[in-house]
Amino acid sequence: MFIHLENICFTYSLGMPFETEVLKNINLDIDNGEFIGLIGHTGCGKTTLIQHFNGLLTPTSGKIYVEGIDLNKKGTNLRLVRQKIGLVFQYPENQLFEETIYQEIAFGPRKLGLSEEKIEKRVREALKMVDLDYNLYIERSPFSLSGGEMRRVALASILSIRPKMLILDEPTANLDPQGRDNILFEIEKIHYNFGMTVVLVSHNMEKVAETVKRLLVMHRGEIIIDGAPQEIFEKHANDLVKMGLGLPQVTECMHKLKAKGKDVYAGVLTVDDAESELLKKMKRTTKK
Amino acid sequence: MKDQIEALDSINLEIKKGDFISIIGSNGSGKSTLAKHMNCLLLPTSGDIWVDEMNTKDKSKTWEIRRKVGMVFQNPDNQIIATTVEDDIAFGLENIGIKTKLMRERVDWALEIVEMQEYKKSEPHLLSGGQKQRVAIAGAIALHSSYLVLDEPTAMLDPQGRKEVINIVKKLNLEENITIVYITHFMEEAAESNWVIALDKGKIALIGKPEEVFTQIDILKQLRLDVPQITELALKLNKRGIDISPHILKVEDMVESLCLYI
Repeated sequence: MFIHLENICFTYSLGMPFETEVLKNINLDIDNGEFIGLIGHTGCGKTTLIQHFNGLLTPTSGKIYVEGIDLNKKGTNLRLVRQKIGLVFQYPENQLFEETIYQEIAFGPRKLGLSEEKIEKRVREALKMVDLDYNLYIERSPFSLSGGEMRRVALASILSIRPKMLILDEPTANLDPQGRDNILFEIEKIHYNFGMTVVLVSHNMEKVAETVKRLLVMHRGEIIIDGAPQEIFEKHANDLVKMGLGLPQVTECMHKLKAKGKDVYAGVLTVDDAESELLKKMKRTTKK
Repeated sequence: MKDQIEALDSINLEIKKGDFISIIGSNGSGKSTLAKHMNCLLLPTSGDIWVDEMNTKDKSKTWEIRRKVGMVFQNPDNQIIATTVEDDIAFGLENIGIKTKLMRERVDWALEIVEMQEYKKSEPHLLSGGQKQRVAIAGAIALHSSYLVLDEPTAMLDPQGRKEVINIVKKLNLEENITIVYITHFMEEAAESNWVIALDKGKIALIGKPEEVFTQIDILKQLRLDVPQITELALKLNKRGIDISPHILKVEDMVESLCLYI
C-alpha cells in the first residue's frame, strides 16, 4: 500500500465564524502503480484532499500513512515524504521563476544536495520524460515558452526530484485541445514507462475518464463513488449529472437511447467505443 | 522592433446585428488579439474596424465604442472590483455618470437577466466561478451594450459553471438581441452559435455555420482543434455506410436519428 487514509476529516477555520467542514470521514487506499482520476464539482474538496497526501495540510482528525509512515506523528520527516510524492499545483506555470529552463529544473535536485554532475543527469532525464529537447531548451527562459510548454517544464521540475507518485491538480485547465491532449499523453507515458503512480485531479470528465483506470468521484467532502470509469459511467450517470459534473456527449447519447428502451451498453468513454457498440446493435441499414 | 510578430493578417469580417459568432483557434492563433480590436483596446497596424459606422481609430469615438461593445474576460477574479455584487455592476454606470434612480433600475435589470437577483448583496469572492462570470456579464450589459465580446469566459469553470454561462449568453442573444462574439476552446459551446470562425496564425482558416465547420474534421485537427464528440460519431457512422447526417451537432438529434436503426 502506498497511501492509506483512515477516517480523514478536515475543517477550515476551526472554531471561527466561517468554520467549514471540507473533508468528511475519508477512507482511501492507493496502491503502487495505480492510475487514478479524482473528479468533482468546484469546492468539493479535491485540492484539500490531495494536499493531505504529502503533509501540506494536517487533518483535523484521522490518520494518513505513506509507505507505512504516519505523516502526523511527531518526528516524521515530511521532507522525505515530499520527495516521494510530487505535487503539481494548478497553473504550475505561475510557479516558474528561474532564468533558464536548466536552472528551473535543477532547483529541486540542488536542494537535495546532489553533485552538479548528478543534477545535470536529472535535468536531462526530466526533460526527456516530458519530450522537450535538452539542447534546444536548457538555455531558454521559461517565460519565453507557450502555455503548454511552460506546463511541461513545471512538470519536469517535479520529475527531477524522482518522486514515486505524481499528483496533478487540473493539469489541462486553460490549454487548447491540442495542448491538453499533449500533456495527458505525456502523463500517460510517464505512468506506463516508469510505473509511476499518478493521481489526476480534474473536472474535465471526458479526457480524464478516457485516460485513467480508476475514478474517484468526490461530492461535498466525501468520496461517494470509486470504481472503473466504464462502470461508473454505466451505473452512476444520473448521479454524476445531479452533481453538476456532466457526461461526455457520447455517454449521454447512449443513456438517452437506453431511456428510450433501446438495448445498448451505456458505459462508453470514447467516440470509438460508442461507434463499435452502435455498429453491433444496428440493424444493417445502408445508405440508399 | 526586431521580434515583431504579425498576430493578425488581413482579416476581413462583417458581424451583423443580432449575430452569435464564436471564434475558435489554438493558443496563439490571434483570437484574443482580434477580440481586443473590437473595442479599441488595440488598434490595427493597418486596415480599419468599424463599429456602428464609427472607426476605432477615431479617438473621439473611443468611449462610445467601448460603451457599445462590452467585454468579459477569462478569469472572473481579475474583473470584479467592488465589495458587493450590485456595487460591482454599478461601477461602469457610475463612471459614465448615470443618475442614481436610473442606475438602480439598470442594475436590477441586469441582475435579473443573469439570474443573480438573490445574490445582489453578496460578496463577490464568496460566489462560484460561474456566478462570478454572470456578474461580469451583468456589469457589461448594464451599460446597455449592443455587442458583447467574451474571451474564453468558461475556461476556468467546471461543467456546471460552463452551462450557466452559455445559457445566459444564449438568452442575451435571443431575448435581448445582443450581438455576441464568443471565444472558446470548447467545441460543444461553439456549436451553440450561428457562425463559427476558426483562426490560424492570424488568418481566418474556416468560417461557416457550425454544422459546416465541424464536419471539416481533417482541417480542424490540422488546426490543433477538436470536433464535438457527437459530430465525430455521426461522421464515423456515416462513413460506415449508415444513413446518418454528418452534420449532427446535438445529442438529442443523434438519439433521434439512431432510434430509426436500433
